[in-house]
Amino acid sequence: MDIRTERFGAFEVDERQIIRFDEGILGFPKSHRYILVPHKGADSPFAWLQSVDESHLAFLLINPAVVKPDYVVQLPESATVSLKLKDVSEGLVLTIVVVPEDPNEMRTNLRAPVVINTRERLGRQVVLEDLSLNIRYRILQDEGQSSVNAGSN
Amino acid sequence: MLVLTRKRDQSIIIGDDIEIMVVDLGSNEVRIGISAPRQLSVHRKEVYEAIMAENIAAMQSKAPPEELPLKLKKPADK
Repeated sequence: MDIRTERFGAFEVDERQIIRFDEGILGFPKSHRYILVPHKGADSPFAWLQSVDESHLAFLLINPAVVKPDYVVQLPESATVSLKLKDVSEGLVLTIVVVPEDPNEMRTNLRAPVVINTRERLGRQVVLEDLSLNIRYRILQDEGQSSVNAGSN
Repeated sequence: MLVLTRKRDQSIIIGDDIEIMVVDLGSNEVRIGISAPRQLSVHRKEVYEAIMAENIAAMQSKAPPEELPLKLKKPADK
């Protein structure tokens, strides 16, 4: 099928690439179908999650292991059940990136990763219970990286 | 919003599958028990709103500059 997108223009998509987000991404309840578009550049850890339902909607994602090698995700039951995952290792875990005006302030949300069951083509944004996980984790490290959480108890 | 008054140990049922119970009452806070189908997520509202705000900021992001190197900490630095 052909899809229209604001970032990538029109392009053809195989139905088998479409990932169903039954709950949508938080704040965007109208989009239930997305595709993953790898970011260009060899070895880029980035990918775009492009909505098939709304052409303007796309999220930049990053492989969190590249940013925080010890990042471990404990999935709540609501996630493993809705994604039909037996274990988090079966899922593809990517985190949403915010690129502000100053790209050195690029950050990613470690508290609410996007988890995808590639076999079943199901996806969900999972809000984790671990309060030490930063909602605004700065990707470009320098000294004095703050570990203060943006979320509250 | 529907507003109901409940005493300790009383419950509210939403639809057929969701139960909300007042487990304990204090002067400044209430402990609430929630029973819901396994696939439903339950979150404190302020966390949910913080995530939503970040998603909106993310949706407005520019593409990462092509040449921006990721100055990542090596695992040894951790």
